Amino acid sequence: MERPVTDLETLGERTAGALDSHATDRDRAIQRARRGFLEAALTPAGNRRVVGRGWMVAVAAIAAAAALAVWIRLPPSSLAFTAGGEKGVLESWVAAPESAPVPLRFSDGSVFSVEASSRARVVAVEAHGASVALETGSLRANVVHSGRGAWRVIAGPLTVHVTGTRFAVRWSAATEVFSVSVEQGSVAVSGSVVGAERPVRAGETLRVRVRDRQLELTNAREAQIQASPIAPPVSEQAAPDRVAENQPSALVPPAAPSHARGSKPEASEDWRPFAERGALREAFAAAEASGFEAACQSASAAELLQLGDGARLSGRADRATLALTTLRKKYPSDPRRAAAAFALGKIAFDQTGAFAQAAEWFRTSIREQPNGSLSREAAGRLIEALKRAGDAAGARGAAESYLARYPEGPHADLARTVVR
Amino acid sequence: MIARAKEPEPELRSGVVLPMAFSGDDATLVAALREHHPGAKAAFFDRHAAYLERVITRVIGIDRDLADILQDSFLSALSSLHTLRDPRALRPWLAQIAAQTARKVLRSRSRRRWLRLFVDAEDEARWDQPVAEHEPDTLRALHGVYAVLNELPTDDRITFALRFVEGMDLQEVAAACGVSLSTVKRRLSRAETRFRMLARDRPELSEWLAGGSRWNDQ
Repeated sequence: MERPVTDLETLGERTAGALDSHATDRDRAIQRARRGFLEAALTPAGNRRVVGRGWMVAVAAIAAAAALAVWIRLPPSSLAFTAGGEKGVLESWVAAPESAPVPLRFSDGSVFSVEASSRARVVAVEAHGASVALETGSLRANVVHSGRGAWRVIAGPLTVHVTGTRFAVRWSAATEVFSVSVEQGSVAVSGSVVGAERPVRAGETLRVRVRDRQLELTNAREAQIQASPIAPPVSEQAAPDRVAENQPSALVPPAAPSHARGSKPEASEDWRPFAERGALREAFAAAEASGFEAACQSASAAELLQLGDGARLSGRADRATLALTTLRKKYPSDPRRAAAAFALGKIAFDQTGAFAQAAEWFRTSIREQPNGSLSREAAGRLIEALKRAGDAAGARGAAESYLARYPEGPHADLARTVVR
Repeated sequence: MIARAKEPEPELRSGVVLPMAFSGDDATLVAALREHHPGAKAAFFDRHAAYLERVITRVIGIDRDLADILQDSFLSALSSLHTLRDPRALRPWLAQIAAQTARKVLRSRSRRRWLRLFVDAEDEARWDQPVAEHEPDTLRALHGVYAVLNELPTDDRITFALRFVEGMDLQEVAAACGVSLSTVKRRLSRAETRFRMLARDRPELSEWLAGGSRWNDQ
């Protein structure tokens, strides 16, 4: 029901409009902030500016640094690198063609070969090393040992720390399978499933199935298998190190039928600590291991949202729907109902392609919380869902409403194309 | 979650192409930031910069230090990401970060103003924007609003700005300020009373303050 607008609300709206009209330097300020944010190392927040007479302090500091430089050796500048023969640029997407690899050559002589059909990028470069992100595929590395090496290969949720070695890394984003095979020297791997740094030595291959929370360390000479304590017991001997990551391995036993796709934490492990840390996939896996339906019945509204998110991020639309519909039934007055409706809309849109149903959920979310933090996003997604459902008139109406309310919103461009 | 048009596949020469945008909803973005996924930082900024800029500007007004304040907000958010309990609530959590950063700036300036020791002419120009006679009415009124807001206690000012200029509801204001609903109502009541009193001396605000009947609080 509409209510009268107060004088201060009127003033507020006009102030907002005037700010939007007169903030002519806004875009430039945002760009400057972006550059500063992306370049800055992570330091505590605070006002780092020199204010007022502090410029004198800055001048003095610069002079002192210059004086010190006479006595101490300043650290060398970062390594340079080329990508496929061209000058390398940080964060550039390196896409190797099907027929040949693309070499990343660093100025210290280290070479990372992005193998055919693989994708990678150099995300950081320092004086004695660099960080290379393997997006998908494989990468062979020959790193020059310097004693101060700071090399990393980031593959999904795992990181390979390198000092001076020859090794190959494989990562599939689709199947979430990682492997590193060391030919010379050693590396240390940390991250999901592995935990703190685990060494992998020459002749060894470490393979991690992130989705199933299993890892295997194989040795080509001794043909031994060490299974992760999290994984079920393995009944067969390892094959040598050439493991195809997209083929089911004889080493990995089939998952238990009732938890076919979830992770396998301890049966008694409570899911709540994972959720409190924001580890939603792990929270879902723990809840699934101990009984997802029971977890939903005992969860609060906030916890049901977390379980729903964890299930959705784990690719379990069915479980996510269960958690979210349970929230809506059990807590009919909770404001999170609208957020649950929004999430159900996303599941219908993103995971099941039920666009008409998605549109209904987005409408529900907006209706239940018209000024909530998700209302703008729901309004934008509603346009998309109606468009994909073939409801041109509905999409147009939604687009007009969106533009009236959020003329500069993230879906404004889409809305304008629908309205035209 | 964010609709991004699919970019055409660029022609490969040596196999090196431009960076690909990160895609995923806020929960996925938070997970990616925590896992130091390349591209997540840029996506984090690009997705939320306009919103944070808006919250900061609503609270502080048009300010020459906007770039620094915005950068500080994002750095603060990144360094305290571990405190975000619900990645779905990233946007309201960011509002809280922006409000906290703005609060620090305002309190720092308030202290300096009072001390009048380290403020030089450039600082005065940055913070106190005198109104020129030839400026349009909207700009004069805008200056008037923020001149009045400068006279309010910082917490009351932030509450007022988030409620009336940004248009948050009381729950959202409470979340952004990190206080209870009753505290928000108290601050708002004080701020409204004082704002109206000070605005009486500013004829440039008279038109903006013309509005409907008082809303009876429930």
